[in-house]
Parts: sequence; structure tokens; C-alpha cells
Amino acid sequence: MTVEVTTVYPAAAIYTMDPSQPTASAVAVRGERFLTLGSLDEIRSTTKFEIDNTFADKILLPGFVEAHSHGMASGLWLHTYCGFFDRSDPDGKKWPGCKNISDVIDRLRVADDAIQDPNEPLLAWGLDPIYFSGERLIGSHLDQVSSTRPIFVLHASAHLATVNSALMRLEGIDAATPMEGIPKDAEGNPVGELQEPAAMSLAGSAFRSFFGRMKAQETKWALGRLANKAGVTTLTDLGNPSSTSQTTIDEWREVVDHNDFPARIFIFDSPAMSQTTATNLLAAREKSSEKLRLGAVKVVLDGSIQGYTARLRPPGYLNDRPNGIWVFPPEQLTELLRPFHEDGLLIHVHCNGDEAVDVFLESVEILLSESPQTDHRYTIQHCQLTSPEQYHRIADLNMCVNLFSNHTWYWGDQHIASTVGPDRAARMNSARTALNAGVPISMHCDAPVTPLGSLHVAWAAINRKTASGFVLGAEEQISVEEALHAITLGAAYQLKMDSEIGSITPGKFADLAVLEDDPYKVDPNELRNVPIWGTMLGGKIFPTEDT
Amino acid sequence: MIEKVLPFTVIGGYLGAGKTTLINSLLSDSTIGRLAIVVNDFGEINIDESLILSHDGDTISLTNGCICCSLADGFAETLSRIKDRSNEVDRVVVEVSGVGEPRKIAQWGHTPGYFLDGVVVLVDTSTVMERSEDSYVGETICSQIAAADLLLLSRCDLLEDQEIHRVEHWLKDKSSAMTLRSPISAAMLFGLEEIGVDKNASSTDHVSATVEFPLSVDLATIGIWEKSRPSGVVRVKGFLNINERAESHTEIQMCGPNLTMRASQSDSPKNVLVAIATPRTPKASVIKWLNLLSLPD
Ligand SMILES: Nc1nc2c(ncn2[C@@H]2O[C@H](COP(=O)(O)OP(=O)(O)OP(=O)(O)O)[C@@H](O)[C@H]2O)c(=O)[nH]1
Ligand SMILES: [Mg+2]
Ligand SMILES: [Zn+2]
Repeated sequence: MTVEVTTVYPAAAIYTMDPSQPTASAVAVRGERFLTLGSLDEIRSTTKFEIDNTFADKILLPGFVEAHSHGMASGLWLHTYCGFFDRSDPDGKKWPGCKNISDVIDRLRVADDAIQDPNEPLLAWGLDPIYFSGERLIGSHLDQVSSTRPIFVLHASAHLATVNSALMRLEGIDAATPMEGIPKDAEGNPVGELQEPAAMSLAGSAFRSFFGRMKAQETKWALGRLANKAGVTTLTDLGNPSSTSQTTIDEWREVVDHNDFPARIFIFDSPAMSQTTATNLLAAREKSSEKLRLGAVKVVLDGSIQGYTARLRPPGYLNDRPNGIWVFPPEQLTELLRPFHEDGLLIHVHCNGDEAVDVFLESVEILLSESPQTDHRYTIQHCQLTSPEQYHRIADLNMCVNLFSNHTWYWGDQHIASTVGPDRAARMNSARTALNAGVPISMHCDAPVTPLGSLHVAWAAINRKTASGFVLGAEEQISVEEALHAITLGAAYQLKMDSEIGSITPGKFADLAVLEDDPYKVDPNELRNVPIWGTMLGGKIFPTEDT
Repeated sequence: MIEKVLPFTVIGGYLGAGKTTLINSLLSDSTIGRLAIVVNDFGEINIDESLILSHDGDTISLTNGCICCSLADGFAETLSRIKDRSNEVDRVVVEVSGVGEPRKIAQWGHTPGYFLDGVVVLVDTSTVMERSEDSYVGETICSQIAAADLLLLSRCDLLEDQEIHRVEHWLKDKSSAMTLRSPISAAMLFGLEEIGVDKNASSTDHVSATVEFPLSVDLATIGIWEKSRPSGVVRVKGFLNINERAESHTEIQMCGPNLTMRASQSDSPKNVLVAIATPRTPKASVIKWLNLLSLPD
């Protein structure tokens, strides 16, 4: 048997998230795991090793853990990005945000020129006209890009698309199309907006290739590149209705288990859609590997706040707008969860609104009184409008919350003006209240809803700035230390992976985020701009492509 | 050849309201042709093993010609698969999830190759009034009711007439849709397939009347006529020559209060309407109403 080499990495600073040894100046790695850490001298006194100076001027943190993202986060990049905010693609290319309609047209013209086949549709995503001060993108704008090539632009909400005249001609969408959700002009002709999936599906072959292409294996590799650039070493596909199918598992393992794939992925099933049983899920869990995890449950209870579909307690939305929708029936939640609970499977439930939180809490109260689980770590995902009283209940039930802190930046101004108003917007994603109540927290980006990026998420929770520069809810700000804990060990805890990842602790997987600047020393306002050099995963170094 | 267009019926209603019960009764009714049933999962559909011809994952084919399709791959994909076999199917019926929005699902009924033939919402008569006050789901129930073309009251068999009346009265404020007590004949649910051939002529559970018109009619006349519909008339189906739409023969569909017109798929030049009404409706009043169409204005 060959003895594995021990490699020691001296670094400018190492922040471990391990309370008994919060900092170190070098870390020793043997095989896939951390062996020891301290100063070089301390390590030398116990171990033989080789030195690797790659990180000598870098800052090391535990690899970031994203406990709420989706597998499709990378697939959208097969299509042209035209969102409002700057964003980087899996290959590191920076795409400046489209700030108005003419930016969108320019972006699409470049993409149009790049496609050889004149019949191939031009597909684009991320369009967010709520930032265009009332101006609305319609088909005639897209006709300026091409009068012959079909163009399909999916909006950021994913509830509607804008298409050009060439596409409508090709697919026969015209004045006589009877479907609702196809706004028409004064002459009765469709303006090129397709609202909701039924209308979007009329975009025929463009619609099919938009979603069809995203299933390619290559998008899984791209997901790894996105993670790598963000310093993320473990992420989730939170809610996959086919997680227990052997084909799905084989497809994921083929990529994720590959030595060159830079991340661990935890796939949660969505039994409300898949009808997966606890038995199936237990069997799938046995098919997990060190890098691909299976066997947990995600349920979506309500919609989104910015889409006015989250379920809110009184006083509800501004201007007496009707309350949101239930994606899953509240009175069936306990019944749905019971078998998974009884088999000790991990459960995460999407509750954006505070009323949805009540429903989940009621279910957990019933389930725990029927059959106690001492270490369940049931997690409320999003948990955006939760009140202090609810946080006390959450604490009593030993539950966790994963907050959508990026909301303050991306939609904070809209929440103030249109959804819930300044007072309740200020208490959205209330990390401070959660921590004060003793609730274990994490924070997430929900990629592709917002870009995969743990430092941005942490920055958002620390600073609580809106896109217009306003500080929203200063009372709910948390410290750099608390935020960095939340995006590492905090998230690992909610995935029940904290004994393997989340801190730089001897025996855990050698997963690192390698940073160019010290997050504890930069101005907290600049945290999101700290450059990521790359990651280490299971002892293997993964520089980002631009490093 | 004109492409076949499949009627698309949406069956909504809150959890346990009786949607699957209705679908199961349709599956065992041999008079209504070959159905494609679209459901979220096969779990509750009462499929007798001996009736299963084949089962290929998302589609179950039955010996009576019906098929059941699950929505695992989404609506777009499922409807495209049904369209591929449209020569084996006469009609599509979709069960909406108990918290689903029937109007949103109805949008799919306008997919090319289909036409929306109505939204039927089941109401659990024994609980609906109480549940409509529920803080979690009350709004969901009321918005489903508001989305209906036809409201179908289930569990009437368990209630006194008085209680049913109370619910019927209460529903009038919530919806302009016609309210019927379950069970009803498939003809009332779907209208009749072939004009002039009343398959259920001997049936006593509904009244039907057929009128042929010698002349073509104006849109304005139809507008006035439509508003004077006797309250018992649930369904109207047929073909008309309309002066303003002279280029084609027009097919007329009425499900509850909703009138739709579209270019006819039929070769028959007939100018004829069939109306179906609830059992207590006097047939004479239905015929009189139909004849209003042929009166000069
Ligand atoms: N007595 C009586 N029972 C009924 C009637 N309609 C439905 N039921 C019963 O009510 C229960 C629920 O009926 P389903 O048809 O499954 O209801 P559903 O709307 O499909 O329910 P979900 O799919 O769960 O939302 C079953 O046990 C039915 O037998 C009725 O008219 N009378
Ligand atoms: Mg059912
Ligand atoms: Zn999500």
C-alpha cells in the first residue's frame, strides 16, 4: 500500500469556521481530506509533507455551500442573456446588463449575426422590463433585429416571452389566435407577447428548443464552471422530479463523479410532482457518491412575492391585491411529508410568504408530536416575510431557515413601491431576528433566479442595499462573520453534510474557496467584489479559467 | 382534408370535490366516444387492470378506446402526443389539481389542434360554504368557482333539498355559471357530437331540442338571442350561416353562459342548432328560444 503524500498549503490567511481553531496560516491536505492545520512549524512537528505555495498570497475559506440552487442555472447560458444586471457566464465572459430596450436590441443583433443558419431561432433569456421605467418590449422591437429569423425572448419571471413577427408568421400566431394571454394591438394583431406557458408553447419549435437544449449533458459541466467561479464547492439541484430515476442518476454521476468536475451536488426530489415514495428515495440515497448526493425532499407551497403569488398573512399585498396561490394544497402537506418524516429523510419546503410558513410549521408540529425526530433539520426555504413570533416557533421546533437575502438588492425597490411597502420590505429576509431567536440560518441565490454567487448573497445580508442604493432594514443587517458562516457551515448543516464539509477541520473533505482579498479586511460594502481565484475540491485544485 | 380539432374540457374544483369520480364515470360511459384523460397522476383513476391494453410510462391505453395521459412531461409535450394520435381520440378531458387554477389550464385548450369546450368546476355541496371562509384556501375555492362555465354540485345525495338550495343560492353571487346537480348526463357535460343524432334521445335526465333554420342570420341577432337563453339551457351546439362571416360556415358552441364561434370543420352545409337543458326545463320554451334566431329583426 502506498502512503499518500501530504501537501501543505501556506496561505496569506485561513479562516476555518471551526470555533476551536478559527484561523491558521497553513493547511495540510492528504488525499481528499484536510489532515491538520496551524502554522508551518506546528504542522512540521507532527507530519512529513511537501509544500505547495500556490496559495501563499491567497485567502482560504471553506468552499462555499449553496443550499438553494437549481440544475438549470447553467443551461440558460446556451441562450443569449439580456437581463438588467451584469452577469458572468460559465466561461467567465461578463455580460453587461441591458438597461433599456435599445440595449436589448443591440445585444440580440450581435447574437443574430453569430448564427449561420438563417432558420435557426434566436433564443434569449433574463429580460426584466420592470426596470425599463414603463417601456415595454414588443414584437416590433425584435423585428428590428431580424424580419426573417424567429426570435424568442424569455422574461426573467419565466412567466412570459416576447417574440418577433417572423416567429408569429412561422407558427401561425395571428389576429385569429383565440388563446388568452396574447395581447393584441388596436387593429387586433398580436403585439408579440406570450403570457403563461400555454401561450408561450405556441412559439412551437423555438419554445421546444429553448427548453430542450438545456437538457444536454454539457450544461452539467457548465454548472460546475459557474460554481468554480463563485468559490462554491457544494450546491443543490433543489427539486428534481426525476431524482430517483436511474437514468437521471446515471447522467448526473457521469459528470459529477468525474475527477475534473469541481463540485459536489445534492439533488432533492420533489415528491409533490414525482409521486416518489419514501422507499424509492431511501433506495436513491444509497446510490449517492462522495460528490453526488441523493435522498432528500423539497416541496413548494406557494409562489413568489414579486409575482404576487406568495401566500401572505394579513395585511397582504399593497392596494388590496388578492392573496397569492398555493402550489401545493396546505391541508395535504402533513400527509405528503409523513412517510419521509417517518423514514428520517431530510425535508426542505419553499415558503416565500408568512402564511405558507404557518402551514409548514403546523405540519412539522403534528409530525414531531406523532413521531419525534431529534435531529431533523427541516428547513424553510426563502422564508422571506417571517415574523419574530414565527421565528420563536421555528426555534422551538429545531428548524432551520435558508433566506433569500439577494432579494434586497434585486427586488428591494419593487418591494418598497409595489408588493408589501417599506415597513414589511425592511423586515424581509430578517437574518438578525432569526439569529437572535437562535435559528440556524443559511442564505441563498436560488440560481438561476439570481446569479450563483455566495459572496454576493453574504454581501446582501450584511449591507441590505437595494439596487437604487437605499439601505433597506438596517436592523436586520448581520456581521461579516455571521454571513460567511451562513454560506459555509450554516448551509452544510441544513444539508446534513456538516460533518464532511463546511469548515476547514481535520478529517473533512479538503474543499476550499480561494480568494484574492481578505473578506474580513475589505470594506464590507465591497465584499461582493472580492475576486475568486478558484477552489479546491477533495484536495484537487481548480483555478477558474481566467486565473 | 381539414385537420381534426379536438374538444378540450377542463374539470376543476377543490380537493376531494369529485373530479376523479366524474372522470371515472365518463370512462365507463360507452356513449361518449374515445376520451383522452389528462391527469397529474394515475393514482386515483379507477382503471380496471383487465381493461388495460398497454402502458407505456406516461400513457395508458384502455380496451374501450380511451387513453389516460400523465402530465409528467408538462402540458405542451402531453398535448403534442395526443395530437399525434388524434385520429384515435374524440375528446380531451383534463383534471386540474385541487388547488390549481382552472382558467389557466383552460388556456391550453386553445393550443392548435384543440378547442376549449368549457370549464366544469366541481363543488362539494356539503362543505363549500364553510370552506370558502377558510383563511388558507377560501380564496382558492372562490376563484375556482368564478372560473367555471358550468358548476357541478357533488354529494347532493347526502343532503336535504333545502341545504342544496341554500348552496345554489349562495353560488349565484359567486359566479354567473349555470349550476347543475351531479350526476348529469355526458351530453350535458359535452354537448352532442353529431348534430341531428341525439344519442341519448331516450334518456330522461335531460331535455334536448333541435331546430333547423332556413336562412342565414346576423351577428346582431345572435347577440340578442344569446342573452335571452332560458335558465335551464346548459349546452348549445350547431352550425350557422352568418351573414358577416359569409366566407365560411360557423360552428356554434355554448357551454353555460359562454358562446364561442369558429370556422366549421364539418362538410355539412346545415343550418342547425341543438340545445340541451336540465330535466325540469319545458322543451317548448327551449324550442321557442331557438326559433328566435330565425325571426327577422
Ligand atoms: N356521496 C358522494 N360521494 C362522492 C361524490 N363525489 C365524490 N364523492 C366521494 O368523494 C371522495 C373524493 O372524490 P374524488 O372524485 O376523488 O375527488 P377529486 O376532486 O378527484 O379529489 P382530488 O383529486 O384529491 O382533489 C371519494 O371518496 C368519492 O367517492 C358524490 O356525489 N356523492
Ligand atoms: Mg382527483
Ligand atoms: Zn428555487
